[in-house]
Amino acid sequence: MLRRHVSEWIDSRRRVREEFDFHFEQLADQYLRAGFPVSEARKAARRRMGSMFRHKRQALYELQARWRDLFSAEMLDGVGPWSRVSLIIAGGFLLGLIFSTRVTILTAGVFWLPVLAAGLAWLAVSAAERMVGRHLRFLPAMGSILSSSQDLRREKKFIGLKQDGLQSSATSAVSAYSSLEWSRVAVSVDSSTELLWSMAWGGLRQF
Amino acid sequence: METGPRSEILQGTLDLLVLHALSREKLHGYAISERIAEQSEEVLHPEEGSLYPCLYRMERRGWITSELGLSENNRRARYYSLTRRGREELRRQQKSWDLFTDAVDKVLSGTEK
Repeated sequence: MLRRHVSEWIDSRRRVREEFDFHFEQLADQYLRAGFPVSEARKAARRRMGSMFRHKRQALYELQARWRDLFSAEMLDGVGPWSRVSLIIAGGFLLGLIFSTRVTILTAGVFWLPVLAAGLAWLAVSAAERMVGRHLRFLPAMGSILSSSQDLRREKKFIGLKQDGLQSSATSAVSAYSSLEWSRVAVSVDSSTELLWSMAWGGLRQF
Repeated sequence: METGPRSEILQGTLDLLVLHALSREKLHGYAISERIAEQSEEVLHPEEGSLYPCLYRMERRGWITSELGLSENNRRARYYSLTRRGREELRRQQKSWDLFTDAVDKVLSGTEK
């Protein structure tokens, strides 16, 4: 897929260059036929055409419109979110390389490498969040189960001491109350821990 | 070979001019430009910066098609020709252009009264 897109991109550039070169040569020929010397004919043709660079850029933009649409659609459809992140980092790295060879290594050191480092750090944080976060989220559930079972034991002991004679009815009352309490405790523990975790992850993301 | 007085091509009319230029025979970009200039008696000269994007846009829409060939002086050139959809589009644009010019004529003749 990438190979096809690259060759299409190169072909479009070649096509624009060839068409403008042909146009220029035809124009220069016209001036030659009108009696201009060769150098003057070319100068006149250049003057008449104006900014070749600008014209080529405009033409290329239009010619590559379909290619751009196809390329972006295929790239986004073809790669998952992780590959997109890798592509962004690879692109940043590539730009860093281009700039370091063309301009100066200092530019890469000052600008592109921090960008790259930030990208890598973001990737690491995202990976940690996905991998570790999944396991850490078991803790609130565990906490709520433990605390609620302790509460249940305490309630049973207390009611059992006070109401020896009404054991059977008390047991059903205790179980009803305990289950209510269990759910209340579970909710409070779970929500408070969730809040803490979300605050922690939020802070980490901000960082 | 100085050209005559030039006029800006009205926005949106370049498509119509190019489609019309290609209605008789296939032409390369330079020939299209020359054909328009010649038929307008050197009044209209499409700029290269507008002509080629216009050609590429029309090709993308399927109004014209292109193929490589040899020019009259044996140079490799890209020739454009009208497709069936292009002919339909030419008829449609000509109709709306006639409507537009008639309307402008009516307005202008109305102010003269």
